[in-house]
Amino acid sequence: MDDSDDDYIENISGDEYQGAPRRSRRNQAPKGAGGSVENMKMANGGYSWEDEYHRSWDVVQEDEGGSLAGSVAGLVEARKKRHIKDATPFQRGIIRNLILVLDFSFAMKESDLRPNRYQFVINHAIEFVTNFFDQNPISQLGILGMRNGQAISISTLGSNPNDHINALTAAKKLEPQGDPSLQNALEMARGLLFHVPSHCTKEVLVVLGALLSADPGDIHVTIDKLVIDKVRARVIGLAAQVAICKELCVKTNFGDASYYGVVLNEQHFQELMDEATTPLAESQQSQSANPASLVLMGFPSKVSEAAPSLSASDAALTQGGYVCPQCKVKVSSLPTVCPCCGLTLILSTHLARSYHHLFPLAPFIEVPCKNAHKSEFCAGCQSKFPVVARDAKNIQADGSMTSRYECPTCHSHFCIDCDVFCHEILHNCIGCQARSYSLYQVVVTKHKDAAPSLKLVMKRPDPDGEESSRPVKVRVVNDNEGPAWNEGGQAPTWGE
Amino acid sequence: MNAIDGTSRQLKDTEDQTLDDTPSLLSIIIDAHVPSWEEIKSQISISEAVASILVFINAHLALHNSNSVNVIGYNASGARILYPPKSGVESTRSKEREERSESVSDGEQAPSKKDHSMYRQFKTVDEVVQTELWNMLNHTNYVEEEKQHNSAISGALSLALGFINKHVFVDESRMRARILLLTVGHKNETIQYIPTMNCIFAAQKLKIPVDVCKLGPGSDQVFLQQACDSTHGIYMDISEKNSKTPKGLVQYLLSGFISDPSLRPHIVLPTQSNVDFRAACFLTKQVVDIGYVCSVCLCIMSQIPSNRRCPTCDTTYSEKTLAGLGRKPLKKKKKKVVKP
Amino acid sequence: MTSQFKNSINDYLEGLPEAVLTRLYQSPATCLAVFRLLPALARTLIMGMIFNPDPIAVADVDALVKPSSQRLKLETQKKLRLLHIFTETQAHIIINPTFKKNLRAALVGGDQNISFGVPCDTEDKHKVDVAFLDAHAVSQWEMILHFMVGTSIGRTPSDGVLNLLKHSGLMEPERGGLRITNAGFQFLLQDVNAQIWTLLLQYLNMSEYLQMDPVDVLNFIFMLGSLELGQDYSLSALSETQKHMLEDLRDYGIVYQRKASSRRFYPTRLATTLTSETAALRTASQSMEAATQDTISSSVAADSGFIILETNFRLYAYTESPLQIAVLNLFVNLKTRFANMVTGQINRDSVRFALSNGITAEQIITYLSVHAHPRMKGMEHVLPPTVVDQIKLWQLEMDRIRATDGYLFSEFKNFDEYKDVSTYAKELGVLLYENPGKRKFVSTLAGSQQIVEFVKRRNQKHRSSAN
Repeated sequence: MDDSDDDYIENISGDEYQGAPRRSRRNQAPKGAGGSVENMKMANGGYSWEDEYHRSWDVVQEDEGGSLAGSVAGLVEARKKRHIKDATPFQRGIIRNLILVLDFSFAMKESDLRPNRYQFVINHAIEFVTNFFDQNPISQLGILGMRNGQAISISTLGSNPNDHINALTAAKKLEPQGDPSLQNALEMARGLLFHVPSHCTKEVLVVLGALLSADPGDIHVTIDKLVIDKVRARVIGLAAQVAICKELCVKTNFGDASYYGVVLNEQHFQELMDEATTPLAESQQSQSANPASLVLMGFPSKVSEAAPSLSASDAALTQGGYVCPQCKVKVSSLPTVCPCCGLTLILSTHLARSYHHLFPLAPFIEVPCKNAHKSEFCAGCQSKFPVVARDAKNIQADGSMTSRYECPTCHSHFCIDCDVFCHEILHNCIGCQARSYSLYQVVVTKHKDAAPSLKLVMKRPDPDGEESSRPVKVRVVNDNEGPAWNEGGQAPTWGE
Repeated sequence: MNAIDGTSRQLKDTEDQTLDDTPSLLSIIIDAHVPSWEEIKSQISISEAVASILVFINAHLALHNSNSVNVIGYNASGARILYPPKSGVESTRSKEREERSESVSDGEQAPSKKDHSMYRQFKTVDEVVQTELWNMLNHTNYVEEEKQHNSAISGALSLALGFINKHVFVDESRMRARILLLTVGHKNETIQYIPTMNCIFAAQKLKIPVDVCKLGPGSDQVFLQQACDSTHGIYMDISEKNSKTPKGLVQYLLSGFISDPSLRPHIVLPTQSNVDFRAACFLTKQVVDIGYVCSVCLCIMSQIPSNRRCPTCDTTYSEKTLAGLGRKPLKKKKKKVVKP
Repeated sequence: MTSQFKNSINDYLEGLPEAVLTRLYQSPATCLAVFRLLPALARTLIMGMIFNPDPIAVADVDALVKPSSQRLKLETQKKLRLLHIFTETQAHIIINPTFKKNLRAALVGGDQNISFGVPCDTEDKHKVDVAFLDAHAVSQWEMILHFMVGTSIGRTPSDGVLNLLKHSGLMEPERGGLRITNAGFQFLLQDVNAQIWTLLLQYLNMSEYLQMDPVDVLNFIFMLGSLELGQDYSLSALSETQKHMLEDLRDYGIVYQRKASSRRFYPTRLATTLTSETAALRTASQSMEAATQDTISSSVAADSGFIILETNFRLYAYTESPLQIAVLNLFVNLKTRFANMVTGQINRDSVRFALSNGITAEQIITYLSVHAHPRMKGMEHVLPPTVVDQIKLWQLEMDRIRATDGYLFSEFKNFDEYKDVSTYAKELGVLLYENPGKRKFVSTLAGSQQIVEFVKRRNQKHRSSAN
């Protein structure tokens, strides 16, 4: 009591705003909470409820003319700007086997996520399935649920998105009930991933809404077994941080705690799910876990038939499909595993879909005011940029005054819409492509009667006109320091 | 009272009876690589082709009052948006009129100021496209172009997609969009694979059909065929190699490529149906049916490389993994059953 | 809705004889306008045939359309046949040569034809800009509508307009002035394009009485649809009929002429959007904005919706235009008016008032959904289904009493007589109501005669049997 009174008097004396702990007390009404508040304050240097109250209406300010148009446009733009992703080309596990574990326990009946948690999660899970197969066409996905203390299988490990979507839609009718059991779900996932070959990654994504786990045995033993089996887990919490989830993520991801996220709002949940669609970057330790290897795959050709015939993959009559080159059996859709001989069947386009993970597009840099005069129109869509005076200062601290974003390679300016488009959907820089040179390119040489062959070559624009080429360096993350070059520093030269 | 229930009734006509009458944006990508046009000069001259293209653009604008068009040209040194021009349509027209009144070029008649016989919407577009296209063709260095083998198709596709993204999706208008690629193609053309595939996937995601019309005798670009197939577009080869002739370009364009995206589900598309999806090995350069894929860089090989290193990303494979790959399936020893 | 006016023009065109249509197709502007009115499949087919000298085989057309869309193909063919663009023989389809030639001319240009209007060469001393034209169009058009609604704004339209309104049945003469009819109320609730076309079609009908050549009139109308906004056109290209039309069109606000004798005219936005989907009349500020931007997106229909309808039947309309407020007043109980908005409530009385004036529930609902605010249009149901259902129920309530003229038969001598006659009436099917307790029944007027005769015959029979 006495302590808090002292502090209170200090504030009344009219001291100025002095730094985080003091500042946090300024706006707080004297509640006389006593010594306990002191202790809490010491623990962290300022809790979120003590921070200065952010009034959301302060963000919007009128400009001289009394109009809000400028600040509204700035807000819209700021919302469009995504997190700048790290664009160094890491080596990634492209062929993935992911088990999605959903919570069907009592805690999912809460309605803090609209309409209630389990419907919200299932809807987003359906979107996740689509996105996942869009980004990782040669991967496989399986879905489990935790209900009544047991782990139930919603759909088995497979590569056809429609199966999973149908299973999830059927699961919508399932009422959430009972306690979740993390251990049972993890054991079941481990079992499903047991026989997966070593070149594929094994991943588990858990969406946990409850704050407890009712397990039949020791979950730490399960976690250790997961580590031995090289399974990597990622958890999205809906309510609050749970220690066992944190331990699970840290242990299975070689000490990296960033794989555990707790949602702040619905948008944040979407973002966390989207993070899971990107393939995991390989670290030094994970490289030893999943060494590089060659995978035998088949590239079937399409046949169209006059009369429908049975296909082996789903026992349906189809008029055309793909013929497995090894056992000559017909399957109806790709990518799939041949049901007779077990060969992975894919199209070359599926491989091409994953290239942008390996060669990501560098993020665009905001153009400072002094360079804003260099461009009048967006290089991507030819829309007009707002005119900015050369010496204008940034009015908004977080918004861009010039609305121009520059590609570091070709130095052309883009608007925010083209920036988002290039990074999220197209994965090419429009300016680099339109100038016919780019940092990474694959040169296609054509042959007489065969499909073109590809060569991965890194080119740099050379002022002399000669082309210099180096092979692509695929980097591996060193967990302690940061990216390091592959084995031995000196890159071998390209021999023709 | 069920008859009055308004929850399920919709005010618009049901879809079967009337077609979706939305306007559409057509992005035409024109090959401006002069040496290629020179090669097929005997079959069709550039001015004839340009005239056909202009008639096709007019036809597209005639289909619907709010249809719009976007023209992009590309050659070995890059790609550029030709229509709509950056500085606005009116100023380009007046600038061009001034230029024309000063000089009459190449035996073309300068159009009289009193030429009012054309619908103004067609006329503005035609004038600008013609001017810009001729500028692009005239200002390229012929020798340079012949030397270079690059082709900026990926640049042109990226430009088209960026433009469509801004004007159709971001501005939330009701339009549909499609892309038509008019390529001549020559023997040594090299196309960047990854950027082009990225463009194709983006078009697939945004549901933009990509049509390809091939005029010249160069060999078939397989991944252009793949592009048309994945985006449900039309691939037509009207070169002499295919026993057709590019001289009838205008008729091919007007009959094959005129259909709107909203009409496409209802008609049979005149596209080539046998598309080769197979890949070629990096090492032996032959087409593979079954091959090994490097798990790091996804390159395709038809046999295990001899030096145990991947040719592209240079990762070494351990002995153990390679041994596992070459292993034949185990034969289970049959246990002898002793009969009593 | 936009398809409304298309249907009405199509109906009119289909009603014309072939010779007239062929004359109509001699103008490329008309061909282009008619082409745009056709369904999508028809347009694709025609485009493929324009440059083709030979007729197409029917089998080819069949092969083009997928089997699942056969109905579409049949409808398309029927429509094209009715407009005499296609003539079908056993195995081939031949396109009308005049149509083909002129549509090709429209695409290719170069023909010296004047169907797209002749812009003026000389500078106009009193040049007007787009904003002025828009304001002029808005004021002229709204004057007509205000006159119909009955709000007094001082000016009345010219005699020609009043004549047209009378002939079209939108207003009827009453006590020295004109009163709006039921058809007129329905007209008010249509969107602007549909309204203009209704008037123009009426004008077409009238023109036949006035001995103006309908082909000329139609050519002029379609030419107006293809003119450029802000450009002045000379009268030299117009025929006599068309010059005469110009005076009438001036009154509607479709064209602007500084005075009746000037040799140039300006089309307004109402004219240039005759054959398009974009909103013809926006507020002046919206059209200014659209005029200054020259981007593609502004040419596509900007949503001009301004009504928000809540599930508790309250309505908020973001508009300042007195015309729109007057139209809303027909079926909404408007309570408050703000600087940029009016609010009100839809209740039984207001809807009853509208229904009694001849407006149907369907029209109210169509009007609300067409002018719904873009945010409403984004939802699953544009209008709340409760409100929609309730408006329809209120309409049904009006049908509580149905009056039929009839004939009452009463005062029968005994029950047997009553029973015989009423059974006979029932067998005839003319019995409307009967009350056996009071021995009365009602039959239709037509049937009463037969019943009277039956009664007479019966009485005669009884008398003769009694005797």
